[in-house]
Amino acid sequence: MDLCDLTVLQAKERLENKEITAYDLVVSCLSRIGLVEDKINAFITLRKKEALEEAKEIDFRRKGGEELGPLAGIPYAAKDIFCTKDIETTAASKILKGFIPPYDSTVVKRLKEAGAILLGKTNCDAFAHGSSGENSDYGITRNPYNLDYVPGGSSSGSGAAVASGECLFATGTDTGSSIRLPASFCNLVGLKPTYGLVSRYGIISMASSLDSPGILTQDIKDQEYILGIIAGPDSSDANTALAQDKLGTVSKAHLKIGLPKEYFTEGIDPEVKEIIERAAGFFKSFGHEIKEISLPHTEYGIAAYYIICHSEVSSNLSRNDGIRFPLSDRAGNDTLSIYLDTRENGFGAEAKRRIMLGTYALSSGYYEAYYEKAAKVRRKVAEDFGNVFKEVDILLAPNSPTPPFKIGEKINDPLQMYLSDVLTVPANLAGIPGLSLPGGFTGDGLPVGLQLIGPRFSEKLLFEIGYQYEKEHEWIKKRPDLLHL
Amino acid sequence: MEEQEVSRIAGLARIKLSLPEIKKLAQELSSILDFVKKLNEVDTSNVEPLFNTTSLVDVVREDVELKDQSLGSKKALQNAPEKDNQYFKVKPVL
Amino acid sequence: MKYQPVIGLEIHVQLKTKSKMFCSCLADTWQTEPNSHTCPVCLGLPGAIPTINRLALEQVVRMAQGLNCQINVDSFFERKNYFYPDLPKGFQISQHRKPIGINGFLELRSLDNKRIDILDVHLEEDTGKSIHTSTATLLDFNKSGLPLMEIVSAPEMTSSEEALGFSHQIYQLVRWLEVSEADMEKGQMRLELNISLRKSDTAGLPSYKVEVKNINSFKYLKQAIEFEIKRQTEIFESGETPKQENRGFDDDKGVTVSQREKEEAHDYRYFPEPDLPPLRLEPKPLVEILPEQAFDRLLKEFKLPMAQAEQITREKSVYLFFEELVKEGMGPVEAANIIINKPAVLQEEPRKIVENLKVKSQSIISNKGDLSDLVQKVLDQNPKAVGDYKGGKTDALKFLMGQVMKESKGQADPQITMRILEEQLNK
Repeated sequence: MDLCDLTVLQAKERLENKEITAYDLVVSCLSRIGLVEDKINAFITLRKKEALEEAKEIDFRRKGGEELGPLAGIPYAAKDIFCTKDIETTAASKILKGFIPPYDSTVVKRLKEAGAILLGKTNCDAFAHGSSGENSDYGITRNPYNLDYVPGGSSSGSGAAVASGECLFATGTDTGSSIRLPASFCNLVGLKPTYGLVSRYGIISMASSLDSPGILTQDIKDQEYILGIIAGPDSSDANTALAQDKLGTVSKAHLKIGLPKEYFTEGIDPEVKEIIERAAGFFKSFGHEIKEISLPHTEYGIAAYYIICHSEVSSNLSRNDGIRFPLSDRAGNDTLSIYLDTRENGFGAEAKRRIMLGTYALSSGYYEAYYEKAAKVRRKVAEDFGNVFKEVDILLAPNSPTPPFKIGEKINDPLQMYLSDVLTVPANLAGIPGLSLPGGFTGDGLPVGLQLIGPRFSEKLLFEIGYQYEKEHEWIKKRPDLLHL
Repeated sequence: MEEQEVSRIAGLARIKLSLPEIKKLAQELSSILDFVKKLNEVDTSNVEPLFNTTSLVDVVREDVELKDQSLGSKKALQNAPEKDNQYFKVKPVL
Repeated sequence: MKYQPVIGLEIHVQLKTKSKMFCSCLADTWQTEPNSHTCPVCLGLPGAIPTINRLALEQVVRMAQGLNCQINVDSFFERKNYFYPDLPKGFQISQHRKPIGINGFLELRSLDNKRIDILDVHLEEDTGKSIHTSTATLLDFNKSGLPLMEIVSAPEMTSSEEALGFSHQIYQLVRWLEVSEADMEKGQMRLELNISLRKSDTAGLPSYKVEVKNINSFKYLKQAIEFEIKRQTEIFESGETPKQENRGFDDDKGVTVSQREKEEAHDYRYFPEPDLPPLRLEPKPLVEILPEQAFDRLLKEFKLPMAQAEQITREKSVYLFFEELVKEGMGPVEAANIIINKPAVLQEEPRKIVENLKVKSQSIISNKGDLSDLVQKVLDQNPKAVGDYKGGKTDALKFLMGQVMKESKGQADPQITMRILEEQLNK
């Protein structure tokens, strides 16, 4: 097995036992990048030289007997909406081309302090607007399991990079589906954490009340380990004030697992349905109780989500004005033309669409009918979860009504694309965690993930149940066949 | 959505749109708004809107200057497309 | 007058804090290098999010209480969205639906306690500084993010006296409560005028409103009001109604000037700031004495004339000094006089001042008989000086005066002594 295919904990053990060096690890990842990157296009920026230098430094310090951080020598990638000090950060959008942040996001800072080695910045849907990875201004990212298919978005590059062994883990964000879909489509583990568990400081905001930063990993133990390092209160992010030691506890052996009946309506692909049902059967055999429950406001979730999301997006993107960032159209003779020309050239069609809809939904006369109404429906969605968690401990569901879809299949119909998030957005609306883990494959060899959803700060419970499943199945071992891409 | 409305919104958002773009957006936004009308089916007459899911209140910071968080003018200006001494420079605001 | 002015004021006050409203950069722009006190938050860089300055919040709550407002305990911040180069995020974090204070009032002490309602007192962040030239606009973001308190009055003032009275009292109150230095030259307090006219026998608000922004002295406020009354009256007399518009104030010429009319009405698209959880205010009753309470005390308890009471309560430190003098045993009338006539006395310690006065009054020889004897003695001892004086040398008087003081070991009352001396010399 190539070193770059090791899990984080496996690599960590070998590093600590001096069986391998960090340099070996980075070389292996770079080699894998050389093999597949021009086919999958997972990265926007690579820092090969710097990563090798950092690896050498860590190896040197380890040799000297120095105490090193918990992720020392582990190569990772950061979604290009995470600000990285002195490293270009584009949000996969033309409008931020050349932007060199003078600061690190808190997540990157914590990983740096832990000794992790940043290999590069991964591609994504521009400004995280998308569910497929097709909305980037830096090219489409392809699914390593089948290049004709999407890897899922918006953390598309992060998903593709980890799945193909280009790095051992990668950061992502989930606003409506953006960690869970790539995890599901690329056979990975991806947790959308409780809102407020992980700091958003330094992460280019999409929808401020919905964005949840997290990571994509090969397995659950890696996910749990790294989450422990990046989660926790940050004085720079007011919404993390409750995050102290908040991964929760597991108090009982046998749980009640709910299956939301609204998630299994006609639109669901039969292969996806079968995978989830088999998983339910597994959990039952493990001693848990499976119960059908109802989340009555599910069908309204997506509408509420899009109004809230686009409204916040429209406001968050106002700072892209051509005044303080390198991309700036200065052909006109006044400031207004700088705004108009820069934003016209720099934003893609999806960003413009979202800004327009969001501006409309917040505008005078429409705020009550749209934004405020959506926020009220949001409370109903959150109450649905509050109610079911009195009856059951966690929920089991698919991440998406369909398996990975073909590149180009949904991109021309924005509404269709939006609907693919219907099973994931409710967790964002309610601020609760959702864990996607490998659940199997379709007949065509495409990955399908399971989704476990729990109450706020129940991450430990989700990991425990997820691990029970993972341990008894071989899905995580089924890596993509990269030699025949 | 009417095309005139699209133009008004575009002006508010400082987005320049060509005529074909206005037409296309009018259609796309109309269909999205139609879909969103669904929200009216939900009775929210006594419901408080949910804006922040953390249930936090009163999160504040002590009034202290933290010098190491300031960038200094060189770093502050490092991405400026146009500078003049230590100022960001733009075209005149007419 | 045929037309009655309808005046409202919006006053922005820069709060006295060490750090900015939503980040920990230095909150001071006086003579700083451009863009030297900035960070990702106040520069509006992608990814940067705000955190609330606790002191600024407390200061606005206290001010709102000082203005008799009802406090919205579940107040929250909102985004006010608009585009301008000195507004880096493209929105200003401010308040709208639930400002910190509402339904307050101020009574104008110099105008028979006329009450002016205060609609709202809220907290927001300042924008950066723009320097406009004909070829460019230069931006300095040191000012971006400074904590600003905004006080909005009801349009209930009807004259420049009332507007000035209101502004002066706000200035006084922010300094009394120590929430701001309010140095207008440094831009720490800025006035915005809303003014229209209505026919004197009508009620209700006029159909239009002229806003005059960025007035930064009381003198300019008076000029702006007087100019606008004249300008708007002329328009009415010609049969028209003044335009609803924003105007600027030209300091040099003392006139208001039309600014480019904005085609669209402001649509700020306010919505609750998602990066900040809502507030939960716990206003404690104000312990400090307010200017109006001090003023009342001087008037009613100490029976000081209004002009003196006004002068003494202008600065809290002066008023507290007065109270100290009185506590040390000085009579209030004397205390008032000494403060007003000899302001240098404020540098000294009240206790020492009172002591010195006691000593002085105890040891002064003012008995005419005793002084006459003393004077006679000195005149007898200095015949030459007497001769010089009678010969026209007025300096000799000074000399003789000095001798009396010496003889009395400095305890002769100078005024009475001088009179006696002159009497005796001119006999």
